[in-house]
Amino acid sequence: MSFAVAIRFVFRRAVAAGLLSVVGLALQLRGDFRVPQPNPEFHFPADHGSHPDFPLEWWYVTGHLYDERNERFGFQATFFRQVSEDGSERETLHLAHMAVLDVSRKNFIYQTRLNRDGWDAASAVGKLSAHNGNWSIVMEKAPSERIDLIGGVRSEASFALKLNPKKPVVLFGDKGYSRKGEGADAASYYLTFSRLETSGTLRIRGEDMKVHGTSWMDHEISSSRLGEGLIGWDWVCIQFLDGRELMMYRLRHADGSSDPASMLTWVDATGATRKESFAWRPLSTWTSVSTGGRYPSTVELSTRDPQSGGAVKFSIEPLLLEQELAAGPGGIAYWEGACRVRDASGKEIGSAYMELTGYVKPLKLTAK
Amino acid sequence: MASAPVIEARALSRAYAEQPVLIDVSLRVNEGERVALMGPSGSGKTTLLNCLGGVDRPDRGEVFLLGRRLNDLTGDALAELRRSRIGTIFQFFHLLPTLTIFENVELPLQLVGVSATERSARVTTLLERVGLLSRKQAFPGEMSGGEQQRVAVARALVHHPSLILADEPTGNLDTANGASVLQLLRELTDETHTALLLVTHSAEAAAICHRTVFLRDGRIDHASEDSPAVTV
Amino acid sequence: MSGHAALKASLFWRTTIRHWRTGIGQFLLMLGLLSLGVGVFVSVRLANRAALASFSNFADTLTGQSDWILQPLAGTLPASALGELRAALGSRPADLVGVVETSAPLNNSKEQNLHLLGVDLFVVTNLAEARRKPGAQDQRSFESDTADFAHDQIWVSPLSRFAKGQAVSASIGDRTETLRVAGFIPTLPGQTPAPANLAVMDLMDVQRLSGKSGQLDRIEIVIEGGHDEDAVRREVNEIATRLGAGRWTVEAPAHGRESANTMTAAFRLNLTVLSLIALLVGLYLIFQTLDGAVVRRRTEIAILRALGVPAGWIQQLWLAEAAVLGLLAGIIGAGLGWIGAQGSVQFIGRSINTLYFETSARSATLDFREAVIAIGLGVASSLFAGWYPARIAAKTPPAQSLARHAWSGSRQHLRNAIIGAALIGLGVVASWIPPYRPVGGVRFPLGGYAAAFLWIFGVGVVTATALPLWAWLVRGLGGRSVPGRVASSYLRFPTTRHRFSVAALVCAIGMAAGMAILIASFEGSIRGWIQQSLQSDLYLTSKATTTAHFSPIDRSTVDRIAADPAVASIATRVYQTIVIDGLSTTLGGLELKNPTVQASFRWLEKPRKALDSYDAATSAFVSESFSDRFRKYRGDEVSVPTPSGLKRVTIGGVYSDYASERGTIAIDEATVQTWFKRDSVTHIATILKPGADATAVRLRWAEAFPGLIVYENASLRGQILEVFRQTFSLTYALEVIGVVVAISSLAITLASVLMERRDQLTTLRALGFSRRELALSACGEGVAIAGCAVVGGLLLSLALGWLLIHVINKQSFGWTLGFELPAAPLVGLAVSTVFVSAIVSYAVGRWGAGLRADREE
Repeated sequence: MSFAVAIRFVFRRAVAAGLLSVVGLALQLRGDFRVPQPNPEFHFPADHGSHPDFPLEWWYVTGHLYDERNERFGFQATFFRQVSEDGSERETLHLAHMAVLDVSRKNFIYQTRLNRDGWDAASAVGKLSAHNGNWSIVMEKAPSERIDLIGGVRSEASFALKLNPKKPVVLFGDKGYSRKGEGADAASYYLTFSRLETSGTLRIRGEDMKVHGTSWMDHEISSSRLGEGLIGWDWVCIQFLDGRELMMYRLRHADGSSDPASMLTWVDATGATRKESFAWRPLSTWTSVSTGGRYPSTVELSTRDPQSGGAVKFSIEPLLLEQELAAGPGGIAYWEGACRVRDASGKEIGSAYMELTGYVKPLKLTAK
Repeated sequence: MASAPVIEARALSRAYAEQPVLIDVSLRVNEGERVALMGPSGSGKTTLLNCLGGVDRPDRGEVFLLGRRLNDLTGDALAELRRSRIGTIFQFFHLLPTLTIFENVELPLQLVGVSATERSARVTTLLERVGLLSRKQAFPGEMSGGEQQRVAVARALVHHPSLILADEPTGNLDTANGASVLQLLRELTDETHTALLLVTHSAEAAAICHRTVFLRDGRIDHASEDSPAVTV
Repeated sequence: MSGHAALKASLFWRTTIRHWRTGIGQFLLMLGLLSLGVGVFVSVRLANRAALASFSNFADTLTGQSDWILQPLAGTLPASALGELRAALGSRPADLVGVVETSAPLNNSKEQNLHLLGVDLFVVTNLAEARRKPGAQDQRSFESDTADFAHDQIWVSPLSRFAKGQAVSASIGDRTETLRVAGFIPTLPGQTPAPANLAVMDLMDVQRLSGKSGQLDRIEIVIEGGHDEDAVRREVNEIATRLGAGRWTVEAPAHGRESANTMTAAFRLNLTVLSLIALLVGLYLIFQTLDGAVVRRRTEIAILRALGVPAGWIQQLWLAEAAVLGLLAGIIGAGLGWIGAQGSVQFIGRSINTLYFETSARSATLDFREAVIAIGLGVASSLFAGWYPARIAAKTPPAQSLARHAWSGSRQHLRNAIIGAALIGLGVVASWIPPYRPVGGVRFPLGGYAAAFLWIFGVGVVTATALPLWAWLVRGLGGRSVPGRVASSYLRFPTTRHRFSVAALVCAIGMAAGMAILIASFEGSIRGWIQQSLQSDLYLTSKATTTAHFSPIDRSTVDRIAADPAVASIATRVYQTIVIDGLSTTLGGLELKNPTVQASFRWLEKPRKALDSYDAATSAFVSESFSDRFRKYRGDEVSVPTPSGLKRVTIGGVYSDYASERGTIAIDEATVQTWFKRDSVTHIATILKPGADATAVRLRWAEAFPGLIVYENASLRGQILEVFRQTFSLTYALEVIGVVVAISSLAITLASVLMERRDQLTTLRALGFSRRELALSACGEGVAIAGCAVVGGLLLSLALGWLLIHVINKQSFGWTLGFELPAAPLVGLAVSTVFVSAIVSYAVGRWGAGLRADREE
């Protein structure tokens, strides 16, 4: 779901460095924004596009790539749309984060960018088409659902990828209505392409590579409200070699306990979903040199496999520990990285992207 | 006196502005020999001295210093030879005003590249010998004429030259001081077996020499020679 | 040869240095004068650089570094150009920063205008991230303590005197706005803080306040860092250039600095050249001093030679003496220069502000490079001046033949006169050389400067040769008196140092008087021009208008002024910066059919028919600077870039204009308004009804229109002349220093000559000369030298004045000036030089008369 980064924009007081206070992104939205409601109805491809009547929305792509020599890479490409309001003024902002992981060179680079809605950043209504500076995500004309993704990190790396859905859109939560804590308005619409066959080019350090692999894309349309008392969250998406997927998010309270709104959902080979209870146990930790944040590194996830009906345990291991996005406009650090997944016997059974927030300092996630 | 010639002039002639100053002059000074060169003003004494010292060049004739023909040498080579083989004493002392007594005497040794320790030893010995060691840090301006000339004598001898050229060394001194400088010159040249060519007007000065050569109108006046053993 | 080196060092220490110690007074005086020469040069150089540096930082402060800057050829760029660029650049990692600038004079303050820079604050914050090195944490952005974002917030320089939260009242356009200080402009690591007068505001707010909604003054492009940076930079340049054809230019920021450089090159060059007067005179001084020392120490040199020191060593010792002197002077001069620069930077900054663009230089810094330049200059000039004396020293024969040959350093007068005449002749040839045009519309009068230097040296040599003639004059004037006779006897056989004293004074007087002639001619021409071009009663401009930036006045304001009961008629002008052939120049929209406007032109190339009969849309009249800079003359076509495309106009005439060296091209006002789709103006001139009180109207308007400056005719004239005088005020200081150094060198010369004549002085005293008579005799000598130099110097100044006016100024600024001789200042300079020289020489003479004879030397 990956709303971590977007949420933080809402909470101006949580932001240490001053940009946000300058632009005054106070969450004092007047009552004329819509709030996600149960039993939604979606119309695709129009609902892949932007929903300006909701204050917060994002398209969040993560993926695993291999070049022709089978060298491994990871990438993250995220586009947010956020409405800020100050007095009588309302302004739409677009934030984007990009990250590229070069596993064999142990190199992780990232960049963030924040723009006003306008000539350099926008998201279209009625179709998926968003851009921020030189980065863009666009879905081809219907009936094709193929997505063109262009991104990169400064002049260090760039990629142009075609993302081809191998399964229909998954509607997480209750038919796409996903609770984000207590309170009637703490919710979002959560739409996901859980398996995107990916191919294209990746240029890194002046070297052009043909790459292929698998991506995951979340699209959430949010009220931008969260439950009270939360200090952060952990999120993970797993793509198993057997063609199934798993998505889990865990909203953390100050005492370390999980909020009841936390959730784990399996996606089977056909795209059908099934929720299961779960347990999350960090096996080791990693401390960031640049921020001092102490993150879980390898994590053990215990749940029930709906296919076999038996209990299963996976370990989720980062491909590189240093996958922290430490700086950027807004200034809240988080960890978002590519991982490999092993079963209890140590056999590699899939790939994952994991997001860890609130480990540098507690996020004050108190909505107004 | 077993006599190898230190300096030898053969038939020197020199003219300034068409005016002959030296005419066919031949002269030889042997090792350890003191020769006085006398003659009236304008007779060519200083010109002869300059030609012998390599400061001036004769129009005709040859000069040999320790067997080397000076005529063939470049200006720098002459300077080199002058620096190492000749000591010079002037009528007006010509000590360098900004150098102390010690430094003045030391200078010729520096020029020929003697090491600092040896320089110090030799200068000290010599200054003691001329009786001025106690004043070695004084500047020339603080000393009497006689003292200055004794320093000049020390300077002329310090680098063990083969030949000393002295131009009226007592001309600017009173009798007592003149006598003491002459005495010093005689003793020191005897001790070091150094040849001396002394240009002078004074009979007292000539008296310390082994022989006297007279110059008149640019020629050697053989008639006035006081010694039968003139080598020409 | 290490033994030799040690020996040379020992000799240097035991002779040269000990001589300095003995004559410490004279040594310090000379060192001081020489240091002053170097110091003046360094201070002007440092101040120049500081003034420019503050300009260059100005553009870079916010962006850290821009890779490309897109400047509109004319007017502004539409904000839509940003989207167009982004589309054309595709996925290339480049950040596009739209910029709007405006000048906002502070109300109730005498301080500089606030320079308001409008940029999208989001975009600027992205830049830190875009240029961040992988792994680096540093990130800065605009911080604010205020709780809410508001549209009156500005961020100011940490160097400014504003406090957070302070309300600032400023004029923008012709309105007054209250701005609130939200915080400070962050200083990027390794960068200097933003200039004190810079304020940053969100782009849209500046666009709104300055009436430039939807418009940009320029676009800066920042290429994001990384492996492919260089390739991206090249591609972006190509794309932006292709896309901008006919609309904008694409320049590297270095080019912006370059144009600031070239814009002020002539101004700064003049200062630099003037600052060399003192150094040049210092050169003479070194020569004289060393030459005198060679003469005084020739016995010592002769003894050294007699002891067998080679001639080459002697030369090296003397060159070393010159070099050490230069080294010391360079070091002290660098320090003096740094001190001087602190004062002159303010001055130069002010002049550049008035004349060219806004800079906020407050202090100059001396870095290693400048210090090396100063020391290098000191050493090089000392070696140059010391070379000849060193050669003379090396030629000194050994002591044995010194007395015999009555050696002296006398030089041949006739040969010197011929050399002098040849230098003057070469100078005439050099003055014909056309200006050197490197790049960027700069015209550098290389030949003119060469001619100046040749004439300075040539006239100096010739005048010095004529010194013996003054012996007759002195005899004539004070001939019967004994001191006069003595003085004239010395002048009949002057030493080299006498002659060099003359040459040094000729140089100083010639340059000072030459500049005086230039300034007088300039002022005369400007007065005439003002007389003709300022015919109206009251003039109005926006307070934000400077010579580089024209701030608009709304049409509604124009209408209100026109409707004022006191006004008989008004004429408006609209000025606009445009770029032709890559060079910034001014497009003026004038009411060319208005008889008052027509009467204000002073024609250099007169239109061939009445102005009324020219076609408004295709005719232009250009200023002399424009004509000269672009080499366009009457009848030539010029393509004027406008938002409506290139417009071809034909030049109908060339007029004289001293307002700007960028040049102006004047076109019918209505035509310009149509081309630029605007109806605002930049200047209003009004003629009042008979009987109206101009001062009363001015005061009334000043109240009614707080954003405008209202000038009365007389005060505007005064203002222009004030700017003019300010520009030249440093010049006077430089000239005075030059003359002071020259007179001091005369004193040193006389002192050294008297030292050499100690024997003769003793003799004269023995003959019954009183101390006063000896002093008078020296005074006579000094006056003769000064008089001789004044005559030569004034002749030189006529030649230099002509050269400055018709060659150097004309070539570098393109301004024709009428020659005017400022009789009073020149006479004053001449008389005061002779008078001061007389006093100084008398004093030196009295000192010399007390010298003890040193018969031992």
